[in-house]
Amino acid sequence: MAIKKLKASVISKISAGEVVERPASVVKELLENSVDASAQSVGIDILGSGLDQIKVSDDGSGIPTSEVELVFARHATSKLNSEADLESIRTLGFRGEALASIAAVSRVELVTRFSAEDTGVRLQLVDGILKDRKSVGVPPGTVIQVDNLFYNVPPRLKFLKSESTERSLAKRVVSRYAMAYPHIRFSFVSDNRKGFRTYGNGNLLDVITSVYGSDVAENMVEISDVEQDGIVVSGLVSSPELSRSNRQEITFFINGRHIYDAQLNFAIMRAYHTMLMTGRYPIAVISLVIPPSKLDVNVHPTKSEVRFVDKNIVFQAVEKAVRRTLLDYVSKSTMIKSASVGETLSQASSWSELDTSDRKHDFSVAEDQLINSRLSGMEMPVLRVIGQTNAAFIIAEGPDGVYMIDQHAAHERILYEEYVDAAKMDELRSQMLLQALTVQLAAEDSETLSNNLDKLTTLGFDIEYFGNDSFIVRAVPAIVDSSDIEEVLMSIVKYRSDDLYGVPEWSEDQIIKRVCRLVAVRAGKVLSYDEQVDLLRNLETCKSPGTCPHGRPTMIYFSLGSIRNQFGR
Amino acid sequence: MKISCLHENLAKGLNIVGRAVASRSTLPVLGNVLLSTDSAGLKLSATNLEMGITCWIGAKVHEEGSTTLPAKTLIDLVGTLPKERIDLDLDVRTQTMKVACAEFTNEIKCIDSNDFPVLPSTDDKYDLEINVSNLREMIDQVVFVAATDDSRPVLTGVEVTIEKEKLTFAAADGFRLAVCSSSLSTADDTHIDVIIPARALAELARIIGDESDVVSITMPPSGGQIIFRVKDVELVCQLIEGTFPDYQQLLPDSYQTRVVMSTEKILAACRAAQIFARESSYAVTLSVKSGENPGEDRVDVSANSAETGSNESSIEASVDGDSIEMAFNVRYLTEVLRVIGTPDVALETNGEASPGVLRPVGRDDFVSVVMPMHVGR
Repeated sequence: MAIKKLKASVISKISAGEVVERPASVVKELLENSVDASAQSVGIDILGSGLDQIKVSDDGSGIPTSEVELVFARHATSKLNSEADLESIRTLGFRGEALASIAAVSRVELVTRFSAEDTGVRLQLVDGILKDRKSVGVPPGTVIQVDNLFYNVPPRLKFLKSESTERSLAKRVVSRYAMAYPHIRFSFVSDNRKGFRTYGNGNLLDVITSVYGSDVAENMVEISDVEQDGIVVSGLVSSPELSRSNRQEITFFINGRHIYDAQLNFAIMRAYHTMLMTGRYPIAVISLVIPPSKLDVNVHPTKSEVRFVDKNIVFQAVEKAVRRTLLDYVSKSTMIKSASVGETLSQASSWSELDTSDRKHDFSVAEDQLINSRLSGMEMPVLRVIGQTNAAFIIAEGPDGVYMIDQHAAHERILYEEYVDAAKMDELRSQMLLQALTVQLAAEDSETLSNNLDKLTTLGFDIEYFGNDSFIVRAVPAIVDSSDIEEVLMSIVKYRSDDLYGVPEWSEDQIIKRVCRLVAVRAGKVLSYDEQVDLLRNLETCKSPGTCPHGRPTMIYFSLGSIRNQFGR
Repeated sequence: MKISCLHENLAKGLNIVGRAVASRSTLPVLGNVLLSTDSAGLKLSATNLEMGITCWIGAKVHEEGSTTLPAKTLIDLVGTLPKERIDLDLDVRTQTMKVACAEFTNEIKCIDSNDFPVLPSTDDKYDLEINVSNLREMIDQVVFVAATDDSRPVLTGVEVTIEKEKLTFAAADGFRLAVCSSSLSTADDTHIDVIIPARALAELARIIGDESDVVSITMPPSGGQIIFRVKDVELVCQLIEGTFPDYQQLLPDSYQTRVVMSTEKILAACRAAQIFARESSYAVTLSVKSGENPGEDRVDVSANSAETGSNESSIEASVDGDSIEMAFNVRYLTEVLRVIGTPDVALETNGEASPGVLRPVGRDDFVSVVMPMHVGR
């Protein structure tokens, strides 16, 4: 085949694919234009999945009659003048591609009136070509209606999801912008039914009530505006009691633009460390204001990713702000609860005093406080073991109902406290091995382990580098007992690979948790009655018997009342 | 199948084979006992596929045959029957066994014997016969050391070697070792070196009981198994594949400190210390003090826990070498001390970070190595 230049219509369809992927991307581009036009009120109306029709109307500045044809020309924009402006972009759009791309793959009708002019104008385009232009009398602002999206690019249709999925994606885009701009009124209507509406009163909590409902809104905690290194963090995060099974409700806006960034998500997860069960994620709406010179948004055509000049500063600012907010929240709720459960607070404080007095070990005070506070409502009563079920759970009777205890989680908690206490009192015991064990590691694991040998030594391991990425283990912490030593070591070493942030050094706490997790009795082990009783007695002596070190509950409680209820008594 | 036997014999046989019944198996027939007639009378067999036990009991066979009965049902039933003659009569078509004894008549549903796994048998041909009066004691001296978790399968077994008229048992987990040996009267040049699951060996000790019977050993040519025969009982078990650690190099050939104590006293001191050591990973400190005059040597055993309190006992000893202080997991000590078997025990060591070697005083057929603990750094 001969090489030839592509026709303009083909080129525009190809590049349209970069920006306009699905109905939700059209909604996003049009919304951003409305926001950039300083609209106070934006209405979004879609039919079906959005392929049939998307209509976005705003009361923004509108487009002057003389410039209106230009808006559909490729690389035409009012938001950027020179290369230097790229350094300080404050508008959402700037590439001048969106409308051209949308027009290339649909039929578009634009009605607009520039606020300083008396009449407006209506344009109709098919395949990106102007078909009709009329003067009309309309209120100031812009209405864009996109019909028959992708009608001329059938391959794209194949990649779309079901109608309801596409519709909810579009809705999510609108809800995110509503949260980013609480002072703008948004209304979302699909198939002539009201989706949601915000009031534009500048209150983010009101927006969240509209988007997620009042149950969620009640459990959100506000981040007081925190500025650090020129980065302002604000927004709302869910309290530890509220969580979701996926990360989708963690939303970031940087300078008003919605951004997806795995590392920022991870910063949030770090802030929630030990407060949420594994596999649970918070709801968060966080807005960052970063000087434009410190980031590059021109990475991706849809601008859903950004590059930071210094990502660590941003990461830390987010983690710190959220962590502090959560700690404040938790300590407040602790005070309320401890008023009713007198003893708990004193226990918590003595535990943290112990901690601060000994800076040699880096267990975070905050963490223990958190765990304590969550359990403050639940002191462990004296339990009578009834038996074991499924070789994983112990059923026990308390004064006021039935408890089910997860044997693995409970044992993990016992070992964790034993280990941490011993480390604090400098009474760690390590057991020497009969035969030194040689462990061969992969090159990268070997490096990680070498970097952390000191920490492992303080925690009772006796490990020495033997050359060629192999290590000799001479002694292990006494709690490791008869478990598989190599497995324990591997699980510590592998910790890094689960870690998105790539923590180069482990904390002692992380190592201890890893060890306890492996050493604790597994689910599936049949325990004798005496072993079960022993486990519960030991759990009773724990300071935080209610959760395992990873935040999972160790026990579930069925109150006598609820049992009676179930039986209709 | 139709037989008559004495209650006493059936109960005893079931008691022996019952230990090999699989308690929770996906294969229902493994929860059953195989009953079959042969020239020696009635044969009872049970297996959990790791280990199988067969026991012959005297019975009068009226009609040949075989079937399998649910072990728990049969054992429970026999336990309630009067000590009289029991008549067993199988209806082959319905696989129902009629169990009649005095005024009691019972019918038990059976599973066809063809479903039962075939256990290898010795056919009365033995590779080796050992006549060891203290075989049971030897087994007891090592089995408790074997590892209970499966991370290194060879350590869940006991290495059994027969060489130059000497029988040696060795077991180890990651932290300790026990080795015992005995001379064999049979002048045979057979060489055996196998690893036998500790559980199976413990079962053998139970079968031997207090009797000093001849134990016959057969290794079926197909390999992978070993069969022990004691009188009317056969125990077959799977061997563990692999190489047992070379423990000879772990036994120090010299010592800097040797302390001899009363086994009973040090065991009592350790048991008391264990109560207080529970919350501190079972660590106890042994402080060996060489006195200025003979008769002033002592060993102080101590343990403490922040929650429970503390314990200290001081016992008489005779110390050869330097004073020393070392820590051990007290469970490891008590378990060894229980099987030492002599009034006095010797602890030898080369320093606080060196292995502790425990030997019975006056006998050289047993040695145990226990690795020490470090406390605090």
